[in-house]
Amino acid sequence: MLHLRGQFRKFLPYILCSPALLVLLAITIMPVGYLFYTSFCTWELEGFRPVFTGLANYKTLLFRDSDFWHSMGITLMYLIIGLSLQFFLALGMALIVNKSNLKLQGILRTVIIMPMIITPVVIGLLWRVMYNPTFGTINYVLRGVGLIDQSIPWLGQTSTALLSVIIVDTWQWTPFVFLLLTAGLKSLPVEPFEAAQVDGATQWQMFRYLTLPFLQYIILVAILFRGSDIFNTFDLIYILTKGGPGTTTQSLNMYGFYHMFSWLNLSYGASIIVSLLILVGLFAAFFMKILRVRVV
Amino acid sequence: MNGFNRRIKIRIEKIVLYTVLAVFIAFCLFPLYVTFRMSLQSPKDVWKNTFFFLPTLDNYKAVLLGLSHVGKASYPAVANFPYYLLNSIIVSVAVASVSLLLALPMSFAMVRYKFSGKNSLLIYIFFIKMLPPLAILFPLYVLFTKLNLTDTRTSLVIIYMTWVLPLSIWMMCGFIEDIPVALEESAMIDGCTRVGAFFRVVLPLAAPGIAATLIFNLILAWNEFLYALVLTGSHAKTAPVAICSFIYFQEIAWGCLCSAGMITVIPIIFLVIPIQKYLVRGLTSGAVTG
Repeated sequence: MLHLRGQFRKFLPYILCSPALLVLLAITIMPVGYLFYTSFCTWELEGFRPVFTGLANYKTLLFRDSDFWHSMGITLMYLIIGLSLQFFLALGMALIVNKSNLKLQGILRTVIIMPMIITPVVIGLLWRVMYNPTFGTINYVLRGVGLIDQSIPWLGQTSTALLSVIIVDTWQWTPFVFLLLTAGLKSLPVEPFEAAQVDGATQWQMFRYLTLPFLQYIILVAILFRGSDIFNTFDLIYILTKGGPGTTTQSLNMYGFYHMFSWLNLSYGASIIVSLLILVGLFAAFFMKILRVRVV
Repeated sequence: MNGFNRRIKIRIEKIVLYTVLAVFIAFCLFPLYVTFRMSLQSPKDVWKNTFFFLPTLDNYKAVLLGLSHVGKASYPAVANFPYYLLNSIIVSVAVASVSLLLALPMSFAMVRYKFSGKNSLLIYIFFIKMLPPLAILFPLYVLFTKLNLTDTRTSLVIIYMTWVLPLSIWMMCGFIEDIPVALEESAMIDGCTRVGAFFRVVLPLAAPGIAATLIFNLILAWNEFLYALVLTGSHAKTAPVAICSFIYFQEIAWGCLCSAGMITVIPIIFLVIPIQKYLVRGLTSGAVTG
């Protein structure tokens, strides 16, 4: 009896995990496997069945499809500009707010949490209203101040479209990064900082050699969360520009979406999404590697 | 003299701090204000960029009652909005509660037990969160077509689980970690079994965390757009997709758009305000404790 109980104890964690894991396995891992298989096929709509053709899709994708490389560039630009904007804005804010013992923490949190929880579709629409050249607030204010003479169609011209999308993304997600970093700053131990102060370290030295190393895990989490979200952004781009004007905001995710569900090149779309998946994986592996190097 | 200088310095620092905060808060809230203002404008006022106008509730009336016209302007797409709102409510409640039920035992096991494969499980869950949604959507779309499940609420519930579940496991882990083990141990010394201790000690103590996770799940499901856009037609459409359909080829129903937007956002805000402290805690604690 005791022996049986011991056995049960040993398997208990697995039993507790199994319902959630089985569901996840069925609805994520298996579909991804099928996606990989499809990307090696050609899928004509007649018969609705993929036919194995090997690497044909990838050959076209890598060597003959300039749109693919264009989308790749857009995605990386979005990632680099958006991520660094959000990260440094949030870091600056977090450092300023953390230094002072603020009385308005509660109100600040309530306000700050708003952009994160609002429906992305609504966010896209509300920024579309603000960017609108005819009655949009942004143009109205800029004209009123005298910075511009004529209204600028922010989302409608190739030079500003991507930047406008990035600004909306930054608006929505800087608060999230800010909250993460503030939580990290609050959990810092006090003693090392006191010791450094006694030894006469400058503010910058304390930041560089104490704060940053202590925060590196949380920074990694923030970067991974935000980075993967930026790679996979769909709703914002779809509402704001639909990938346009032309293809100036057509990220890889959008490009894959169009191939799959608008142009019905199912297997070709699958190969685009597989490359996006690999890109996300590389991105995550890269930042995890950086973390490990610093930890050891 | 020195003390005077220091006092000035502190005051300047304070001024800078509050200016930065004020700008940041305004930056966060301004778009909401713009939407709110537009939701009160009648179709002919929307085009005038004035600060003074006659506020009307016509847009809200049209959207909530499913009328297809505001004043003299007719917007046929607005007609079914209440039904789509109901779809959204049903789907998100189902997704939120099912994933919470699945996540609870798993996160308890992940925090309280040591077993082989635990770390790789954590990484696996994190990677699921990072998967491109299209990588899951496309194969499941094929599957749903074969099973005749497209354009049903069931299909939405199934596919929403793919990203609500990992995130709720992640959040619940943080909350359970916050509960001291000692409490459970003393309950077990007093004759509780491990499972008994879970129900009598962990669950009550984790109640705020569970509520926060549940509400976070609700929000995630409520806000989702891509899956609903592809998987639903006229029957199981959710509110975000319906809002999106207010943009016609010829014109955009701005007033209705903004009031429908406000209607989808207001319940979220009211749900979040009471549990915001725990929500922030849950989002960050997983990250802080690792």
